[in-house]
Amino acid sequence: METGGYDVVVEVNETLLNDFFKLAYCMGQFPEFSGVYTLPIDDVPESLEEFMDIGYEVSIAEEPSIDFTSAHNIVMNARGQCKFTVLGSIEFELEVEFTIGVNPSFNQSTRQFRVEFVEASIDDVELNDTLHLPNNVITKLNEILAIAMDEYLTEEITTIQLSPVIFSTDLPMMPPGSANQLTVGMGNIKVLSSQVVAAAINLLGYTGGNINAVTDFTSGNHIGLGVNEGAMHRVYDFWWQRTTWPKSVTETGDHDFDPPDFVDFIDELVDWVAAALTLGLVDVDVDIDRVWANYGATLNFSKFEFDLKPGNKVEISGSVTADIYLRVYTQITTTTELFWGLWEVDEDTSTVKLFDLSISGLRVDIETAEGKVYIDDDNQLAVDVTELDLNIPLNWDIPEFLLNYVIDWVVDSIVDNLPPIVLFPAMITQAIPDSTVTVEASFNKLVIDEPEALIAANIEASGMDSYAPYVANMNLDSMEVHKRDCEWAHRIAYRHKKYYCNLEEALSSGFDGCAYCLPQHHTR
Amino acid sequence: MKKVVRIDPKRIKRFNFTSVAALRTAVENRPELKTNLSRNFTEALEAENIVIDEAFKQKVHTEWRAQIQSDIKTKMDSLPESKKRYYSRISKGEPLKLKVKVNRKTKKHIKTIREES
Repeated sequence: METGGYDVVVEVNETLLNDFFKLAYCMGQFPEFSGVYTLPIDDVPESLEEFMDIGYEVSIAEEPSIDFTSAHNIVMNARGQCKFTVLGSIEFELEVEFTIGVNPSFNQSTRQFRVEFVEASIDDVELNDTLHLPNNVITKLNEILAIAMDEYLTEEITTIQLSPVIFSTDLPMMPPGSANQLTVGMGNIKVLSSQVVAAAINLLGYTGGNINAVTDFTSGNHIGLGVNEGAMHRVYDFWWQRTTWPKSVTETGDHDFDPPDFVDFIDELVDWVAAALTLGLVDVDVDIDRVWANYGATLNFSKFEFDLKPGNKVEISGSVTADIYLRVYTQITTTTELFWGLWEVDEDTSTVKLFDLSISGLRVDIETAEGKVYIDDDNQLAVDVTELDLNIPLNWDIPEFLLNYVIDWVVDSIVDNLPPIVLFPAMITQAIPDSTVTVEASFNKLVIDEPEALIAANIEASGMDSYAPYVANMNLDSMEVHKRDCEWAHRIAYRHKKYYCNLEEALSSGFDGCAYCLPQHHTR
Repeated sequence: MKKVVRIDPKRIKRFNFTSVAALRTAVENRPELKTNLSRNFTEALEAENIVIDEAFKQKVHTEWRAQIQSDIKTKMDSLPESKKRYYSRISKGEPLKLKVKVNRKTKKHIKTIREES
């Protein structure tokens, strides 16, 4: 059991986390941060106090990346820029590489993976030291920088959501209200390997599972999602108790039979009609205009039992209680006026009711049914019933052509109205909260082992362009990169636009800075 | 659909409408009675002192229904098994045991009788 006895295990690959770091960077989730550090020197004259303040502005120069260490820790590598202002107006610029300790976690309310920054350390500093500062000053600036970056990354930003919404708490066809949403409880989190981190989650108040028994089932995909069969039963029970899906369905219909349908009974039908009209006292010619049936059924479905089987199969059992009626009519014309209104003979339409049957509380047992677990169009884990064994204790003593029709119709009505078996809500929902970015999941794996379903998917995000702060013109006559709000950027043909979150990436791709909005990078 | 069928009066005799048994014999001997019945069935019956009340109607209905059930049994007994797959089970008092193969696309679900093992 790869889900370790938890209800749900979510596994995320390092590649996806880095893709979402890029998204976060592009969306401006690493904003510029500024502050003032006051040198801790005692007894400074009041007139010199302002010179004790060192102002700093910190920003992340390019999208950070995440690494899983061999010790199964996660660190974030970032290259920052820092500008110090000392003695009121003297500015120093530094580029600094950081390693930030990262705690992975799972946000129960958004169902997104996230990382929390816990500790920042400086790996390397490049100082544009045109003033040839003494070493002790540089050492002090490094200390201040460490304090600033630590504050920036562990207090100012603190967390970054690094995945799409892994699953919804909304089940289909439920009444509104939070009481009808799944409740999510955090189990545990563990870095499984040098590439995969897993979050173990429980639903609806369940507490159980062993994180050490969780294994990697992503099979190289961005995301793995394992759902325990126990969770599926809890979800289905929860859904069944609350769903607005009609558990009772009434269907009606009518059907005209063609002569081939009742060829074996043509003489009998004529005799039955003629006997009703004449009591055998008068000779008559009869034109049979129509033979038809009105019928209806109210079907009351009970909750199904199900059991996962290997091979993405599921065994189902349950029952349906049916109230059924069937009325069969013959409409005729005769050459003589014989309609005497004795019984069941409608003089206006020349109609004789041959059968009027009804049965209440007929219990149709679904002795066993087979279904296939699949991911539906809404990314929900659902069951497609493929085969049923039904027991129908109908005792109507009527011609076979009527039995054939009514039983086929009742069975079709049962099958077509079977309530869905909802095993798990929508997975990897398309929208990313607080953004216009959307994701598309390609589900590459769905394996049902008896106690659990294991799913793996790759994620493709779209719409990140709308956040990119730079846009390049790929027209070979231009090959310039602009700030997004530059008026020249608006003149680029759609087909020539290429968006960049990072200016350096655009420049290194051969684009020249715009003379108007990026003059410092304009070289031609 | 329209199918013209000539009624064979002899066949109708199997409906044992006891309330009009005497009248049926009378019709054979009195041709004018048959004409009267054809012209106005109800009046002709009443002229023969047959009271068409609820009891009469119920009795006739019961006899008619009984004959229909008898006809169904006779006809079904004469048909091969392949033409009465459902009726055979029902007439034995057994529930219908069906295997249904679901086809969501066409909604033409295939039903077969599950044979007893």
